[in-house]
Amino acid sequence: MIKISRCLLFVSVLTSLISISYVVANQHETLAEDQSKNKAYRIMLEAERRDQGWVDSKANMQMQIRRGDGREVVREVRIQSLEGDDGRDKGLMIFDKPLDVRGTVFLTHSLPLESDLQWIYLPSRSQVKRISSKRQTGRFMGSEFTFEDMSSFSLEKNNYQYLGETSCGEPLQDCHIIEVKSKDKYSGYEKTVSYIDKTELRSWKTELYSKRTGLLSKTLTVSDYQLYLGQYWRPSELTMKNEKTGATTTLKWINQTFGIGLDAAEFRKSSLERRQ
Amino acid sequence: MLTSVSRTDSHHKMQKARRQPIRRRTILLFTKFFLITSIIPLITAAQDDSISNDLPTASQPNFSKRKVLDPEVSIRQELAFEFRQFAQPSPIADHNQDGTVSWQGRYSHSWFDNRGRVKNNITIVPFARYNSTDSERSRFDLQSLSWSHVNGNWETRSGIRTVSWRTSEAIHLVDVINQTDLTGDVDGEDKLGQPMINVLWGNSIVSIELFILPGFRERIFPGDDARLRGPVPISSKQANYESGAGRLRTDVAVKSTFFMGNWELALSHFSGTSREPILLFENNQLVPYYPVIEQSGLEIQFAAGDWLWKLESISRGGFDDPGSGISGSGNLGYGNSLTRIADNTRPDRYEAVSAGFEFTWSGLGETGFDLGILSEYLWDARRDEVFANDIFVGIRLGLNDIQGTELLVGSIADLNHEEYLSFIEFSRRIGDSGRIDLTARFFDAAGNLANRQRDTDLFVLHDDDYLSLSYSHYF
Repeated sequence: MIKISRCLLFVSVLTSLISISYVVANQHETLAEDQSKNKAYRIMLEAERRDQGWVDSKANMQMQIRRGDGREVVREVRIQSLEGDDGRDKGLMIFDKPLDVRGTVFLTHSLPLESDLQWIYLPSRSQVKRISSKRQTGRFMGSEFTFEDMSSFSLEKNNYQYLGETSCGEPLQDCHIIEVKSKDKYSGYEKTVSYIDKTELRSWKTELYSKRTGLLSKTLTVSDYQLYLGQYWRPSELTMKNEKTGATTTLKWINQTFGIGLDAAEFRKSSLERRQ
Repeated sequence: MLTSVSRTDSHHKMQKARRQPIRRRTILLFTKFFLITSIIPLITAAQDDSISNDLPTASQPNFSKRKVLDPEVSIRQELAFEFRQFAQPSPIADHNQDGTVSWQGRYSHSWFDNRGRVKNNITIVPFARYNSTDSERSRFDLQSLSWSHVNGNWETRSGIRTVSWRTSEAIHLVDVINQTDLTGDVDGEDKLGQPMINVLWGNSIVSIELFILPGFRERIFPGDDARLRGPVPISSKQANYESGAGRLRTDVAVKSTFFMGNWELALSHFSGTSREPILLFENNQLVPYYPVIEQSGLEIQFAAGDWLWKLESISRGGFDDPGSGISGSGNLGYGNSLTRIADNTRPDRYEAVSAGFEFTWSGLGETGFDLGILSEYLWDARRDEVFANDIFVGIRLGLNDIQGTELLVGSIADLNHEEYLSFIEFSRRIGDSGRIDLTARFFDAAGNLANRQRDTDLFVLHDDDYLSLSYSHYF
């Protein structure tokens, strides 16, 4: 069974001419499943390690939602993040557009293994509501991104498998192909397959497979990576395409800033009111 | 300057970098080389490990040199038009429809420190409403006129504010700081601004709040010309108070909230003039009487997977009428207890509970919609109260589409006698700056007129089923 799936994956990998020889050469090395798992895990571990120490960041996020029928709407959200130990990051989303949700504040406390803790401040009711964090498969503001796609990456929440190599990115460079399977039974995906460049370990493309159908449901394309603090690569643009409807959502990061000096006190339930 | 977490982290990294300066540079050179030549690097496990040993130093942000951000002003406004159609004619009011125009502004001015944190904030939220038939419903109010000052884990909020202590969906037992405006909506969720000094201290696991509440505001009931009220007019001019200070009494409240992972627990106590009046029958009208109460509240929330469990409970002492006479609850202003003689055997203190859950399936179907089921059981130690033995069941549908379409259908059913308080709430965004809301409320009970009049809690509302359509514009 494993062999069949690997063969299929190799077919897709073969389309990339540059890596043909390498794939064949590499085939023997990765025959043992454990080995490929180990390799993939090591790469992701390294990617996570390299991403540590950013302390905090803020940015404006703009989403352009283009439906299958061509209609287009824009969402604007301000985002602040605070790094924590072992993936205990904290995030704030302050909604600016559409105007009827302006002033809504969304707070997330990520946990390394369990599901995130989430609260939402509703300005119309002057009330903070707890949200059931398993609602991660729901679409974010009508876009092609789900809450799961928007949540922060946590190494130990997934299993990894090394699928092979190809070239990806802008400019084209050598990439690892890594399959990620969430350990969380509430995940909306059967698996995701990411294309990560070998030098900087940046993800350029991710194919997302629906848990319900097992088929490719969405493709995320990442572009325009910028280097911050001389160390952290962050994309400026992410496009999620729905493979079934053709609808796309382009997420743009504007004015990304690091090392602001944000305080944990800003990321508490009691502070949400003043953040609107 | 940094949080303890990040400080140890960067310190650790700096040590590491110092230990291996030469090796780091070499590897960086190699990395660049690979980038330029695009040679396929044969990364073996060993090479992967060698990369892990290298760690670039995170640049230490220097906050003292950072320029203080300019103050930030945000203004937003909402203008809403509502049309309401009642299903049946009323025996006490001469109209079957009415219209409302309301406006709410919000001005917020924030000052930051050199790390971009809000240090001071002034918020002004004026609200104005005009109703075509009910003068009580036409009013101006300040929901907020307050100054907030933040200093580390401390925050002081002074002025007029609106504070919601809500966990449950169907009724709000613990929510005691602000007075209710019953002319806004019969659900009692519309509040009037309350003058206060609120001091908060909090860390990541606990927050403690103290409220000093000078001055009292009376509950606003529908006027004599309005629908959605009982046959006996409620006097809005001559309320009575247990406290000799009347409306000028200064009340106090404390609340502490504990955060333990998926659990959230809050304990609160309020000592002061009850926001809920007892309605006393005097001179062919109902006169609100506001006793001084001691109310302790408990709120528990537990998030477990798709489930969100909620509990609200209060123990309230001192909520009794000043002597003989006919009394009734002012919770909705039209309790059936209006027709009963006050029971002298009523205990001085009573408890009430609301407990339930919200279960959500998310990302359903092709469009990824959410479907939630809500249910709460409502209990009150005073067995003749409106929500003494009731069950609330609701279904929430969120389409997660561009228009943010939402539908909430629910009913509070009385388990003592067949009486239902049902509602449908539909909401959908229009364009980038508008939203339409469609709300229908039904007050139903089984049995004939005489039975219903005798047995049900909300008989006086049985002719007030309505449909309301509103459009809100945001700018």
